[in-house]
Amino acid sequence: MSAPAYPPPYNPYASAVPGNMPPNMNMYDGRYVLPPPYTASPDYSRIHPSFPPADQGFSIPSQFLNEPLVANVAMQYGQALVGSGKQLVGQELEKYVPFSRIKYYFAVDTRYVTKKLGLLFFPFTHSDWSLRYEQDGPVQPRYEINAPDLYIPTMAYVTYVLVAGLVLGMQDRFTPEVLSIQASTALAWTVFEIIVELITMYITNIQTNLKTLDLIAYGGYKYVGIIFAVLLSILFHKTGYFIGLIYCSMSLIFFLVRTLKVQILPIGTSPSHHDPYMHNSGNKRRMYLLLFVAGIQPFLMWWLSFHLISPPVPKS
Amino acid sequence: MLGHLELADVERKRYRLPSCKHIACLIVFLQTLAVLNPFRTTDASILQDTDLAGPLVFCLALGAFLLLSGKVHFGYIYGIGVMGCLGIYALLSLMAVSAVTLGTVVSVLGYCLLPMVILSGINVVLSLQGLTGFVLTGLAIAWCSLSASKLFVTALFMDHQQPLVAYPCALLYGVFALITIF
Repeated sequence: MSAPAYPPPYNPYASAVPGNMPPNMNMYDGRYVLPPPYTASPDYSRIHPSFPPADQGFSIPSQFLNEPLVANVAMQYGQALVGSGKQLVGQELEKYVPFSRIKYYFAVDTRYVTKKLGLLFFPFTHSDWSLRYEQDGPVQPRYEINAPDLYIPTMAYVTYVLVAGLVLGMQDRFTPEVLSIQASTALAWTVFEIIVELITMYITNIQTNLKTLDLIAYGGYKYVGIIFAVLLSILFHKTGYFIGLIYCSMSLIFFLVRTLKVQILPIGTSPSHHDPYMHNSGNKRRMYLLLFVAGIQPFLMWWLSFHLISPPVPKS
Repeated sequence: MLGHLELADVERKRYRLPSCKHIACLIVFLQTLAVLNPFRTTDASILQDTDLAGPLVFCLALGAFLLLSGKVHFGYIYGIGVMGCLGIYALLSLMAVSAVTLGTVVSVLGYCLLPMVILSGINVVLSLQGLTGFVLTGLAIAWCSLSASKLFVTALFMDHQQPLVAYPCALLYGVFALITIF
């Protein structure tokens, strides 16, 4: 065959020259009649300079790279470069936002979320509040009902912003700017609360197992109560709002006290033997911290939602 | 030779293939119908080719129906669509074990927008602010989020997390419904 032995089906180095394809595919007689592949070779000579086969002094790169073997290797090398580049970017990003740590808080399933929501509204009958630990950290929320998660706080925050928009729309007070004002105000207050808690823990020199993300999670659980109270206020106006707010505050305080007691106050038989005096003297401070964290929740819940309730409609 | 050319001409006119445009539309329509039935079991290969033409067509159709109802809201649709897609992409990449791409998220969310488009079409003719309108809107949101979450859960191999994925999708489609009605 006089045609070149390898017309490559995909040649990234050949430009899209019109006339590269077979000129016409006749359907004469119902069969495809392809022109012989020999027509491909003039295109090669048009694109690339003719390569005198006798001259082997140096290789012209374009012709060399045209061979499919080398082209494949070059493509795989390029793809490997892209993969390692992505890995590098991910590692750099991990220093600023710890994605792998955050992923732990989103490892939830439906059973956990429903049980946790039930706990947030009725924690009074739950008896075992301890956390189980694995070798390198606490057990995932999927398998441990007492572990904090970030799915419920995030969803509750977004729902809070949308419910605020809905309620304001029902009172004819809605503009799109109001949504962003609500969102940023609530976010700012949450960040402020967490910073205050962190500073308190630093100043009073309390060593706990609580991490910042844990605090964010516990601070976000109040939005569930806020949503419940605001939805009650739609039906029952001010009385419904206050009843919902008081009940949700009580259950949230109970929930937080029982949950954080395990993590802030020392257990009687502490495994760490060094410095038992530290633990004993820090008891009062730890209890104050616990009460502070649990106690500011009702105030923040009220502060973030009292402007959303509507005055009772006067009966005419 | 001339006779041969004439015969080729006649044959070509008789056996005319449908143009590429028509085939593409047909494929998009069939794929939409296939993915939107929330009650049949899908397999993960259905999302191998992320197609962005269908979602674009649906967004434009939604905007067109809203225009027919007298509301010019293209900016809102675009803004909410982009923010919603980014948010759900972030959430899914944190929740799922397997890798998520933005194209998959946009493709699934766009395809499941079809019930919303139908709702806005109904809104042109009837008003949706009564009780029947509420029920219809609720059904449309439920249909959208159920099929979207089913597709996500199947494609990303998530177990026991479908209601957790359906809730943010329902929030997103609820905002679209708010634009449609009010």
